[in-house]
Amino acid sequence: MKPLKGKSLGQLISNNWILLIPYLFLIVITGVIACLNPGTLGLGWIANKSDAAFSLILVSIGQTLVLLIGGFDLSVGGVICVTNCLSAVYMGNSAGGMLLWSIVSILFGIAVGVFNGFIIGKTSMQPFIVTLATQSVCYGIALLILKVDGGNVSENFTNLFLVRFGQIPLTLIFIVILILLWLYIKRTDFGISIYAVGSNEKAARLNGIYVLRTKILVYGLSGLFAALAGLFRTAQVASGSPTAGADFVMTSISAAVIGGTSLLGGSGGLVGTIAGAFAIKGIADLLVFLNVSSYWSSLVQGVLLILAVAVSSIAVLHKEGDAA
Amino acid sequence: MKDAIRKNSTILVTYLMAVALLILCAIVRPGYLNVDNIRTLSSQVAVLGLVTLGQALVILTGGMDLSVPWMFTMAGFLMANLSNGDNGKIAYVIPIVLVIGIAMGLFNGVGVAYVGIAPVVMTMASNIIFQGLLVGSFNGMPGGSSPSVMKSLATGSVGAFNNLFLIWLAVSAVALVALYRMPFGRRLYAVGSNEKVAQFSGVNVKVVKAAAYALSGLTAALAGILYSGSLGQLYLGMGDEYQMQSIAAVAIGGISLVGGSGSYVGAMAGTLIIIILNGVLAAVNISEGAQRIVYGVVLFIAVLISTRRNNMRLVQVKKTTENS
Repeated sequence: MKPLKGKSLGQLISNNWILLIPYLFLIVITGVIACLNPGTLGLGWIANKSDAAFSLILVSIGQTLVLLIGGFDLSVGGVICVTNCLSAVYMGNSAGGMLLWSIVSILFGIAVGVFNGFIIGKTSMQPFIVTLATQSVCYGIALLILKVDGGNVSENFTNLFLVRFGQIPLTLIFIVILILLWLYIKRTDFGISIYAVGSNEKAARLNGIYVLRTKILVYGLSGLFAALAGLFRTAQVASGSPTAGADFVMTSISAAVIGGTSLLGGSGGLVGTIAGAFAIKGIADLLVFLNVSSYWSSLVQGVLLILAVAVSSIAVLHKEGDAA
Repeated sequence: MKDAIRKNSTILVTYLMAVALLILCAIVRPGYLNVDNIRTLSSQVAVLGLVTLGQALVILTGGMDLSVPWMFTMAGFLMANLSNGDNGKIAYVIPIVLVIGIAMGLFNGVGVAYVGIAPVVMTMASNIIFQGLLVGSFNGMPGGSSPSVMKSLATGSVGAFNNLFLIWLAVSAVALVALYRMPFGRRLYAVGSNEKVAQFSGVNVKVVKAAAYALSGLTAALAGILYSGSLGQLYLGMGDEYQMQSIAAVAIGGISLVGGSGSYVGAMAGTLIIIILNGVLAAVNISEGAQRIVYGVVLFIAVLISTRRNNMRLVQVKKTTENS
């Protein structure tokens, strides 16, 4: 944040209008939904939405971190498939089994991420191609575990994740915790190195930032969050699917970009991403309300992503124009 | 002569690899090289080869085309749907579908070159936009069937080679002339190796990029049209495998995934290797999951090798310039 001195509120808004887009967008969508279905808005509605959006939010958080360092993670989809299948097939009913397979799933996610980060940091291979390869391997592993949708998920596991305290769901509490955690991490050395590596890798290295370590950590975190999303999906859907993660690759990137994170790295953040993820879910709801055939939904998703990226790249041009 | 061999050693190695794999197949599975199987293989090579041609053009400019699956599927279904088995209609249906292919490619090209959207994101989004368009406008499952002329074209053969293989060779010959004997090719390589330098040398970078994507749309559509003739029943998702395989074929062929270097002749060998590899995997009766793992690993290794080679070349260039 630049010092506020000498700048009016109007100036501040006109300089940072791009940051407000996700929130405005979210408010508009919520408004439209509220108008179409009076009486839906309420604490119960928010609770449902936070449960529905939670797995997307988790993946998108990891994806955002990767985008912030100027990377790209296609393997999140694969990790979700594997962890979803692992937990759905092997967990069983015992608390020990649940704990064990949750840990195995999380370790798997971290391992994939660390591998991505190490290779991307060590070689000059593009993040896109490295994660495309690991994605393919993960999809393969998921298919080896589970050929078709299935598995056996204990009700206790579902209840554990979808528990409500009064009307407040566990997921909403987690979202708040994640936001607070991020606001803290942003100010730590790790947070600063994420933005530094994303803005200018060479400059970051010259300034003594451990670029390789940052990359490994960030991709590792992305793997971790994808694994958590896979576990949450297991609880939510109560079954495993070897193709569960495929949709998440693009929607996680969409959520981040709609939330104001630049694909070029170095600018954006998690709070916008969370708003972006809610906005995507909101649009899906809107399509249902409007009775749009589900066959069109992929079209809408794609258009949304292109629009979001187009707006952000036009904003970059706008800024460059200002600087010049 | 020696110089020529050294210059093209990567391509030579790729072809040798293809031959070695073929011999391996023939040993593992006696009868692999009988005429029937060569006909099948050569038709598979042709379909993947056409998609790979477009992918190679895009990658040479430093881009990436992830939208080939649904451009391919769109073309196949439109062909069947618009002609609906009527031989008389193909005279205008084929041109229309090819133009639609070019239009889809141009959509990508405009997004990447003129709006400035990252190629991976643009084509990832357009892929599902095309999916939505096709599935949405036909309400789930487009009907229709390929005309008998297309069927006999796609299943007939000349000697041991499927007709489509000859079409692929002819199209490839045109591409080789355009790439290595005409200004278009020089411009394409110039854009891929250094956009700024190309711009200063008077190359219209945006037009060249957009043209590469448009051509990828054209080749994917042509492949889809021809493939739809060889299938008894079209299915949604018939294009999915071509995304990964076309990129892998290009990478195996020694074309740098950051653009500007490598030869289409290599990518043709890459196509052969992928198809023969498919044969090997089928021969050892491997599951779909394990296949995906193999593809991931193959892509990873191919890119790793080509990246190392490029780095070594850069070091050599540096040394020679320092010495002189």
